[in-house]
Amino acid sequence: MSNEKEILVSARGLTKEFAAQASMWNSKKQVVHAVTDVNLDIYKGETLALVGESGCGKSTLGRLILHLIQPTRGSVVFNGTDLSKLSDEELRQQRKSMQMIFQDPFASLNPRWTIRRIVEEPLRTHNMFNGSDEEREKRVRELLSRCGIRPEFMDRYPHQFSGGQRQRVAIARALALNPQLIVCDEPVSALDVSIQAQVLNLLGKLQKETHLTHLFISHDLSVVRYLSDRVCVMFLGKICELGVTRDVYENPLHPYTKFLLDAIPLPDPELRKEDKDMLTGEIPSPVNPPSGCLFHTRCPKCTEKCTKEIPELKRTADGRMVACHLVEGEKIE
Amino acid sequence: MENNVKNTLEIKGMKTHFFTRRGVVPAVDGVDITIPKATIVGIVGESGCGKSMTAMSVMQLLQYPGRIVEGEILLDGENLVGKTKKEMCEIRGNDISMIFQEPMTSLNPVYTVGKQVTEAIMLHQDVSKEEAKRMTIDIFKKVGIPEPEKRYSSYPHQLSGGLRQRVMIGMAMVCKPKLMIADEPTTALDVTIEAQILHLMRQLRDETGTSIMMITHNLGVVAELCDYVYVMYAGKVMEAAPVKELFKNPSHPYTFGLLNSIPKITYTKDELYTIKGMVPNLQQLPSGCRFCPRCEKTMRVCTEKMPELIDIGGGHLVRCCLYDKEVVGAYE
Amino acid sequence: MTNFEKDQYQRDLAARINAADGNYQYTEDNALAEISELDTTWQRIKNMLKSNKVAMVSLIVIIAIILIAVFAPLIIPCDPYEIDLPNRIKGPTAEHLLGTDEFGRDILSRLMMGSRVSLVVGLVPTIISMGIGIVLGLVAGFSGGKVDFIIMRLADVCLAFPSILFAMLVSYTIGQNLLTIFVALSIISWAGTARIVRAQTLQLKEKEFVEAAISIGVKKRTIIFKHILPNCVPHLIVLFTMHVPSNILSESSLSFLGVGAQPPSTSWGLMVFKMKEFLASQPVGTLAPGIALLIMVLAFNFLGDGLRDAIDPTLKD
Repeated sequence: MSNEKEILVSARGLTKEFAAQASMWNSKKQVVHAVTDVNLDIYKGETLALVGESGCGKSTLGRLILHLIQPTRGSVVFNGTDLSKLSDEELRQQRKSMQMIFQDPFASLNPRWTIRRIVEEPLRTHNMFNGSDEEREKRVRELLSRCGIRPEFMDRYPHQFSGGQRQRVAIARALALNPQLIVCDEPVSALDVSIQAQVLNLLGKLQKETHLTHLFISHDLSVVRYLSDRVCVMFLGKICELGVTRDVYENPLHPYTKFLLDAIPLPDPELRKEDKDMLTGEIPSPVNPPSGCLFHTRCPKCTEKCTKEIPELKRTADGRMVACHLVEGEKIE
Repeated sequence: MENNVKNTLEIKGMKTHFFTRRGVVPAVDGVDITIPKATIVGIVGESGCGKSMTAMSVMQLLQYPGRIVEGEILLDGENLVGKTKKEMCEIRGNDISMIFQEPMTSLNPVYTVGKQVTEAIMLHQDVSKEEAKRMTIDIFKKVGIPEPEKRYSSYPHQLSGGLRQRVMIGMAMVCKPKLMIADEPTTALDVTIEAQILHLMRQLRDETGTSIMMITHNLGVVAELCDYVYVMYAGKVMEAAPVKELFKNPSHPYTFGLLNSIPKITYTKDELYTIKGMVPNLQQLPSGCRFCPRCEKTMRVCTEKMPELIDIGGGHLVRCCLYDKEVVGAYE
Repeated sequence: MTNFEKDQYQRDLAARINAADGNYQYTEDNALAEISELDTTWQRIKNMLKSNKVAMVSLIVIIAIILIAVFAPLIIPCDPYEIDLPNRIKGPTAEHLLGTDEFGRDILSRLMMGSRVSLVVGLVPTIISMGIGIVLGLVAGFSGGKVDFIIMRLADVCLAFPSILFAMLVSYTIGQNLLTIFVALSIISWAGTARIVRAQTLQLKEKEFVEAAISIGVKKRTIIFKHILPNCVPHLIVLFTMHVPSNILSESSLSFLGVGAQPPSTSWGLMVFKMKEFLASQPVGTLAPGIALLIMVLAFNFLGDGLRDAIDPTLKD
């Protein structure tokens, strides 16, 4: 089924390693394995969610896909063009079709610019409307009102708006160039609960109107359930499970996904479990990842094989991809 | 020593105001909160609702220009308002302790965590250094820190976020306080670690009988952990109820909106319910009910007076004109 | 009754009550009330001057000094170069309001003329050195790597060089005039600015709005000058107000060593040093230029502090 869909982004063997110093006194270089050998396809028009705990590499992966950071190994093919083969100038032009929305709307808008100038920036940068001021202003007004900001306020500074409104401005900026892909990096986690719903509804509405492709990065599994078509669960820089959101949530195959879903505190005290299965231990360090399956140190079903062999991503009967020795599936080439 | 007061903490009509250059900010504006013995009471609300300031007022750790202008804070029947700094130092850490959102900022990075806990013990209890060290390792074991002897000599930055929060909880619990105030203790943690910490807090309550004031914006955490909940909005308690009652029967329009605007993991819908508008600025509060600009059921009376907390049965209190018999009686 | 049914029931109830209340409708648009008035940098500066009396007075003082310096030849009471030996080192009189110096010249007139040198020496090298420092600091901070290394080592060299010695060296090489002082002071003080701008740039580079600009495809040069530089402005204002007085004072030391302003022209610094021997007999002669220096330095500092706060749009209260 998924084969019929058109692929927009295709990442192959994507790996990012950061160099880090062990400590102030120890100059020995260490390598942080932020993202390790990720293969991922994003289909046109879908919302793919990347979920995982802090340090799992989801934000790094998002930025690698946009080539905001250079991968150590591997490639990203966007709409048929290999981003790593582009020159700086070509990549700059390519950025027209891929945009990003950041987590913290207080930090992602230049505090010294009016929101008019902020939303105009992508239009000016890529010289849209051949520099016509009137048309540009018209476009800014249209974008702002589409995102729920009154265009009358376009000459105000970001600090005069609340967090939710600022995030709306950031969304308007991301939409300005009619991109094909938007990477949303935790777009609602810095907002108040009652504002989150407003921004999520806006993102949902825009998705329906424009058929944009979204890569939605989040640690909040409830938000992901609401917004995404497919979900990709990451652990320590690797994909553990990737599949259609409903399947993954209703029947998680990877033990980690299962624990992650169980751990969410549900807003219903009737469902409170006094003794729920809980993951023990801490997330292993990405500097010295465990041998074999990265999850084996916390996994209750760990077998000898798990401690030694790295599990490959396998395709299961329902078309999901899981990296676990205990799950049956056919190998992907 | 044992007295027969059944509430660990009673806050009565407390007002905490900030006297800034631009005017008075009523961060907490007449709040009544009761925390019975061995109970976990949740205080939920969005940013600026006064939940953290309530906690700071109880601890008497308000920063200038804030101060308590009215009300009483009774800890085991003893009023904390008006205590001197020295008396409060005795009480803090001994009778009330507090844990914060980001444990890294509340731990001193240049001392080992063991030393910090040991010093906290020696400050409040008359024990030898060896005894204090033994107690520290005991409490580390109790809060589930693996290899407590080894961790004793670790520095805060060598521990993960979850372990640091465990250290903080250990430090808070070591003097067996009557009340522990937890200000968003799991907000900075990952879900799997959050579940562990919540489990630990409940376990400690069951074992030691400490009351916990749980301050959070996460309704999931409240449902998971608390026995009784206060919903705060713009410095006032809007609704208070036992946890199951609150989630089953949210009665204030704000609580209703809040509960329905969070995406649920168990099902999906096309659109989320939203509360319109935004969190109010405490310096430009609307007249009457503070929620009325965002409420979809606003009546004239809502803009004229702030309603009182109305008891609708089963320990459920709501501050909303829709429950005022004088207002709605004739139309029901 | 489910929660949504209850919600609907309450809506109906409120609607019924409102209908009975003469179709009452709640209208306050909170979103409008929340967003404050248009707020431009100029307005913030105006408001700051209104509320901050010290900054206001400082601004007036600076304007007054500038006016005096510009119109000095027209408003001086006496000829500042006219030597009158019989009346040397005299206290204040009706004719010479601040008395006379060691050659009997009118101190008030010399003070007014001297303000020109002091002001120019304060402003020009500061502007030159900060211009160099800002550009090099931005480039070093944003590019990193080799470029950063080379620029910063160059800065270290300049910082390590004894400044007065260097100024004397320059003046003996290319002649003793004001230009020498400009060149010398500029070359010495760019390094401090460059360091501070670089540190700021390194910090701002990590901010999400810079990453956002990169993700839009904005050119590097635009990011540096449109995003990073404006956010350094508060620090630059403080730097400016520190550099101006320090340059004025450096000029005084240089004049004292004989490489600054050349007699018969004068500067405030030179006047202080020349008259200090006669402190006992004619204290006004030293105190007047001294106090003038003090007032100018303080005025720049106070105004700078006020401007820094006013220009930062994120600062509230």
